[in-house]
Amino acid sequence: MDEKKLTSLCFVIIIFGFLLFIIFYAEEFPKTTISELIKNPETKGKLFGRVDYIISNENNTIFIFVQDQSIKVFYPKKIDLKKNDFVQIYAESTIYKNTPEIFAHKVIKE
Amino acid sequence: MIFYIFLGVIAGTITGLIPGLHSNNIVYFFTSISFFEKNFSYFVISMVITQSFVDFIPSVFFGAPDTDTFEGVLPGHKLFLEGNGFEAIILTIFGGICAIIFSILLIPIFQQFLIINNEKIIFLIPPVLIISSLILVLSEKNNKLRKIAIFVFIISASQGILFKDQLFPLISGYFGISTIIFANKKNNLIKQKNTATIKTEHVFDGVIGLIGGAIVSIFPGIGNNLAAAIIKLFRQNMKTKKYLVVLGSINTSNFLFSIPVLFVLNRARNGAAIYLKENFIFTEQTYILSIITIIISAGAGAIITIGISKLLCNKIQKIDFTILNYGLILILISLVIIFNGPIGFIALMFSTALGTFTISKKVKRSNCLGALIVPALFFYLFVLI
Repeated sequence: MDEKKLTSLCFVIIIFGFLLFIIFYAEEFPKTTISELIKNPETKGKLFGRVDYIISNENNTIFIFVQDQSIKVFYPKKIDLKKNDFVQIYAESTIYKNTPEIFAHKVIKE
Repeated sequence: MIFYIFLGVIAGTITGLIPGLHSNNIVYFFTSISFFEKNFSYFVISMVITQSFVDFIPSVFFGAPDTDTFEGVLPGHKLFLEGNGFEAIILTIFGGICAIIFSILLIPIFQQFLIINNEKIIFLIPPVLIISSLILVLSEKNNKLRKIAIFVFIISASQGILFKDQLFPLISGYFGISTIIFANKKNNLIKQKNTATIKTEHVFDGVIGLIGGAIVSIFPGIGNNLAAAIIKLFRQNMKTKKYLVVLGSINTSNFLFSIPVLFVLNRARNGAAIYLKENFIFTEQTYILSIITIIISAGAGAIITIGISKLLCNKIQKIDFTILNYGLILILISLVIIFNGPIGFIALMFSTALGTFTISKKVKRSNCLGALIVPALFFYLFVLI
């Protein structure tokens, strides 16, 4: 194999990569509201709202989040949050002990 | 996302071409300012993969080592001095492309392997390091050389312990400046061929490198170069060209495998993975997209590397190599001072002294790997005890 064939192989790899991208890419976290997430458990979305109350903040962070309504959020990392902080959450709706909750993939302080 | 991949390819090309500037420097910067953008992780992945191809260019053409590729400096620069620098680059690219193709097929098996054997593998590392060290020293031709090799190994080990976190100055001394000093004495640059042919049998070397890359991705303390050196020790008759394919394969597959390690074990093995661990949103889709990013940026990185190397082959004849070599020494010293400060400069002086001593006594420069092997060995012994 010479360098020209190697270059062609690389182009094939790039095209293959783009094809996979077209097949698999979808916006995983569209902007949403708490109500919409609760309606459809195990769906994902991006929420923007306010921290109402911090339940615990040690290895994990659990807090009450307010948007169009309030809900408990579980974030498996420690993050320095205070009451009334505005946050963006990459969220997934879950059911814990028959109560809807949010699992946060990422919490970003605004 | 495509925009971030594109930016990553450009950044990886720049960091790859400048010895001493590593993608980790860029990543550390963004980590330190707590920057977050959902798709920025794809920039990081793309940059690291592109750099894994491009960073062989300064190693091969100028003998300037990088922390990921310094084992390639000697064989690569050797081919360059014979007029086959382009071939050396093509071999490393071929290794990288083999790594991409085969590792993507192997990722599901690798994931299962991680889940089942994670606890057991760590106990194998100290014996492997000890045996490798013994083979390294004992592989010298006669007793006189073996005694010198032991001396070099011990001194480099003590330098590795003394100058912890000074990897760039150490490798610049052992494999960079010392090589350039001796190259300067020769000063006979042969015209570079700008075509190369790769034998299909090198696919096997690419697969060997893949195994090295998988090992490196799991264990902290074992870098690309150490893994390549260990593979070389166990395959003493490995020729220069095969070794370059292995090194190219390790360099690319190391990061590729660190993605499943991160997803499955939540363990980060390098600076980029540490950034991803903190900032990446771990879902099945992002996992697939990160693999796709690797595929696209590998193809792009390989094509860019081929293009730049070809350009250099045509231009390099016009360069005064003596001035270039002195310039490179100055650049390496400046980069060490910028990135590592006065301690780095002291480490560079000591490692250059040992590197030149090793060349003058005609023992293998791999003995300087004591600087990596012994600290890694201590690390594992302390972890296990």
